[in-house]
Amino acid sequence: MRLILKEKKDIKETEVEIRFQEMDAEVENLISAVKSAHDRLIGIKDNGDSVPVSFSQILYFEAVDRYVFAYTSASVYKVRNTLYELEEMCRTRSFVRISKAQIVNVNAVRKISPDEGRKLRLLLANGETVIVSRGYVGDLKKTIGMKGDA
Amino acid sequence: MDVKRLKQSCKKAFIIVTAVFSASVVLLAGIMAYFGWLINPEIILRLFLVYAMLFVLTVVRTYLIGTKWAQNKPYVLVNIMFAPLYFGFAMLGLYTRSSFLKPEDLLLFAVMFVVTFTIAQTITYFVKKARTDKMNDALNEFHKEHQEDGYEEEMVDGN
Repeated sequence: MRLILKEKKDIKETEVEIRFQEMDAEVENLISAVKSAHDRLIGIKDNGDSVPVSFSQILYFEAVDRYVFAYTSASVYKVRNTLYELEEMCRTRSFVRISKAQIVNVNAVRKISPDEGRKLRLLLANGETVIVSRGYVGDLKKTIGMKGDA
Repeated sequence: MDVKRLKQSCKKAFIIVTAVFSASVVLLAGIMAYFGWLINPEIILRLFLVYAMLFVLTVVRTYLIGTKWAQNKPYVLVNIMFAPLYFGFAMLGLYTRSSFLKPEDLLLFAVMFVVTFTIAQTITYFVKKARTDKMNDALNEFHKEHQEDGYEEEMVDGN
């Protein structure tokens, strides 16, 4: 297998083209590796190391001051994307915006309970709780297949 | 104690208490002006002291709400715990400024307030809980439908 890497400054998104004579196990592995890389984003650890983090491992994203952090059950990673970009990226991945500063992985929500006013409390898989602002209750309801009205 | 959360609690409590304090000063000034009474500096001082105590109480309440213990309990529990204290502090300010309120009347008012508040909060909570129970059913359905791309717990070593 030959690996050809080309740097092109004028393209907006990284493109991967796989040329093969026959679809075999090697090509399938390659496709799955590329897909798996696409399902990840780069998280920056406290010590500055960049590591790939799978979306399915992320409990929620939170914007704190000028930075955005991704929380998993074991770690917190700083991410380079803005919350708006992440919202776009996560649109097809069961993530939903729950406040101005947070996007939660609905698959990681274990229980919904009422909170003050028209807010909601979400118990996450790691035992942590996040609050859904009243303006985003409708979005959460839509995501889980209920009527969108808050 | 989480210093960051304490600072946030102080900030939030300051905003709330300052707004209510300003409103009560305006209200008091309005009442005094309407009846043509003079504002005794002692009244302002007492009002200030009552709100200083309410600020401390609000900081404690806000801090407590953020704890894991409170997050795992119905939200009304903290309200019910703190309502008698808020009432007590407010009455303390009122009592020192009024001669027509007797201590036994205050006790009666306190009991009536706590009972009414607790019942109202409990009813509200159960009405809201009935709604979130439906949401939990929808959430379970959602999890069943999205089992394949469900949440995966991250290993401690980051792999």
